[in-house]
Amino acid sequence: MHKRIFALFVLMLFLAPSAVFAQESAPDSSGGGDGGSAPESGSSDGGGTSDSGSSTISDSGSSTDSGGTGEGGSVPSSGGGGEDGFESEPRDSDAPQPPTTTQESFEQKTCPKDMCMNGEECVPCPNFEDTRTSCPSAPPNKCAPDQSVKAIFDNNGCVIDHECGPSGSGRPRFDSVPPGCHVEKGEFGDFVKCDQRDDGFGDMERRCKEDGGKLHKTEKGPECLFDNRGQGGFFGQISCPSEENLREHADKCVNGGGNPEKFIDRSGCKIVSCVFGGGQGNFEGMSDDPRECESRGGDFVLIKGEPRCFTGDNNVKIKEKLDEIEPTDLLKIALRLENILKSLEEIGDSFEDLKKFYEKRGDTEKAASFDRALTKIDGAAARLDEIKFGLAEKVGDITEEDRYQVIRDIKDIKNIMQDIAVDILTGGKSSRSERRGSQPEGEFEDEGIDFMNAIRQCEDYSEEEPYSFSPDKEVNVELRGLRDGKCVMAITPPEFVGTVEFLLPPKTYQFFDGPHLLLSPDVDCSPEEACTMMRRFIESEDKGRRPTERFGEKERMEPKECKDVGATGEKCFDLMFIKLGPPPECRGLSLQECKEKTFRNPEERRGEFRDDFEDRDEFRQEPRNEFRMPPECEGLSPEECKNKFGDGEFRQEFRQDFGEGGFREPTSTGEFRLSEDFIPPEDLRFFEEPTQPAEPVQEQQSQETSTQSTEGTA
Amino acid sequence: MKKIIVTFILLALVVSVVAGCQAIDEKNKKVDSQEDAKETVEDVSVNLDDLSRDLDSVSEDLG
Repeated sequence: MHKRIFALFVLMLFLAPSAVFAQESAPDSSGGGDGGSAPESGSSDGGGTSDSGSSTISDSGSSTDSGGTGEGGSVPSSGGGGEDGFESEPRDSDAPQPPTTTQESFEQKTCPKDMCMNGEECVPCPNFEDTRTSCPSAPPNKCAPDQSVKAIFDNNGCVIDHECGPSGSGRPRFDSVPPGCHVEKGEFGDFVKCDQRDDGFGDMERRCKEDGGKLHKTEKGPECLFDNRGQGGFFGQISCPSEENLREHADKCVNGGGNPEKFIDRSGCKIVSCVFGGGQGNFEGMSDDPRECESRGGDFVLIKGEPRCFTGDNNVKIKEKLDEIEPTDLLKIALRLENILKSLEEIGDSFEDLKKFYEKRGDTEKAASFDRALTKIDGAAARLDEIKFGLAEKVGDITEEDRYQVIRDIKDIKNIMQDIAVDILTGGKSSRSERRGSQPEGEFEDEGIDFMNAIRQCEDYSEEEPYSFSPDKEVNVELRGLRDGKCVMAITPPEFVGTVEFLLPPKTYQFFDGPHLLLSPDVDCSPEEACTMMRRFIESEDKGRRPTERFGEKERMEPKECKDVGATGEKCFDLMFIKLGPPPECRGLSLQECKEKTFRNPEERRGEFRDDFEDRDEFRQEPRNEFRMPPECEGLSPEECKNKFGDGEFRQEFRQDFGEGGFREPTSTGEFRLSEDFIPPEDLRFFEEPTQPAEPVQEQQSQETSTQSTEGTA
Repeated sequence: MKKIIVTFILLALVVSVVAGCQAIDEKNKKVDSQEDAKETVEDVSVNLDDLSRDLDSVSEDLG
């Protein structure tokens, strides 16, 4: 017996530390959170996911079914164009390969001149000139997925073969810089830059410009985008291209030998994107060619000897027709976002460590760069958190519009991450920042669009070097960088001395898509009187009346956990803080500090909204969100207020606040009084003779706290 | 015999506590040198790249 006990304890002795180590050394981001991880949960660690980006290329891949031939021809194709070609669904990479040219010494099967590879067969090439490079198409990569791949270049820098590494070597190691490229040692990573040479896009760019489009280097290759430029201006109502415009753009694309596809852009407008040559050209299947990365607008970086291509595309394109999605899939996506959020939190912690390290060393510039990265990552995480809550709670009734908004914001978050990575690898001197910051004003083709891009990178500007533009006559808008982590936007309205200053938190400015967001309650504004005028101006210009509340905001402030236990407002906040920890934007803050940040000046916010929205139609349409305690209840708890009006006085107030006619007459106290000729609308008549007096009181209570929570969102 | 058992229990506890502290210390590792900084930046960039690809696949699934 004693021996057994002895053996048991010896075993315990050995197992205890190993159990602790095993727990601590588990992959950082694989923790399934509260609900465990779904099978699909995207691990942020393993390299397995790192190639997923390439697998998505075919999704919006294009094909050219025009039947013309002739390498140098620019004659419009006779086949496959027009409406049919435009409406056809995107197909996978069944597009003919770009034409082979001078290089004849390949081991792979090549096609005669003017013929292109399509699978194993040679077919006539489409009638566009692919002059991307003087290289022939790359031979297929025959290495196994678990092998490393090394590209073999010829003297012209063209890929002629691949060398496979031993099995299990995983991500390819980069040890041969192609001719014409060189390594630039960065502080934290080595950037491979290639000499400027004709990448073959010149002709494509010229043709695109002639047709009224603009060539963009995107992650999926170059494309001619007929976007929504010059429509509506900054303050004006968005004006999307008409169906006729779209058809015209599509025709031009087909005539130029491209393959048009319709997408939804950032503003929710349909746009035409024209893809030439399948978008991959010589680089298809390549992951270790710096020129391929550059052709996609990316930065090629070597990290610990491994190549990575960091790309970022400010243009958002979403598939026009979204696929059906099951509610369970939405829940799984919410779980994946939860895992991503955990990883982002750890990344934020690392940035904080780095910032402190450089502060201690007195390197303020570098400390500031990590502080910027931290602000960006917290803003992105805050938005992602909202999306997660929104998906989980609106799972049954998510609309197509919601999905567009979510996809758009997720694409933005992805771009933010790529930007941050490049920025920190260069020690805060990212070439992207330089590109953005040094662009001469005259070069902007459309100030409104560029301004939208600029504000999303607000941290690149400062009081001394602001970004400024004039969206309308006598109106000047300036971006003055960050103040306390918020983007400072100064607007000089017409006939106004001085400026109106808006302070936008990261989760707003990083996802800015129009001035309607300046009306959002988490945006600070000063001076007050000018803000009221400015808000009216924005409202009058924004005829589309886009909602200021974004997908998931409300669900995040009052999630199901709170509703289940009847907690609202600050009570709900406390509950969620204890249960889930501080939200991303409250990094390093105590519960009280975070609460103050989130529920700042609720009374003031309400006052602003009452003043500003008194003429708004939505105010009447959505009275529930704006309902508040009657003035007689000032300083009283909801329960005391309920008692005060227990005799029915409350119900009278209730009618006053909800009545249609009474809204336009604010009293000196700022509350809305019933007009003389007020007649309650039909659907509110039942309040006059309530059968259960307690119910409206109950409802009022919850409305009051709910209003607090949404209005005070920071 | 009882003494031996108690001793082992205590030993096991001490070892567990030490191991736990080490693990926590490892997790809360701060950046103390330029080398640490470089390594942290490299790790974070790789993580960001991987995460952004995860997000790519999320947006694909949503569409």
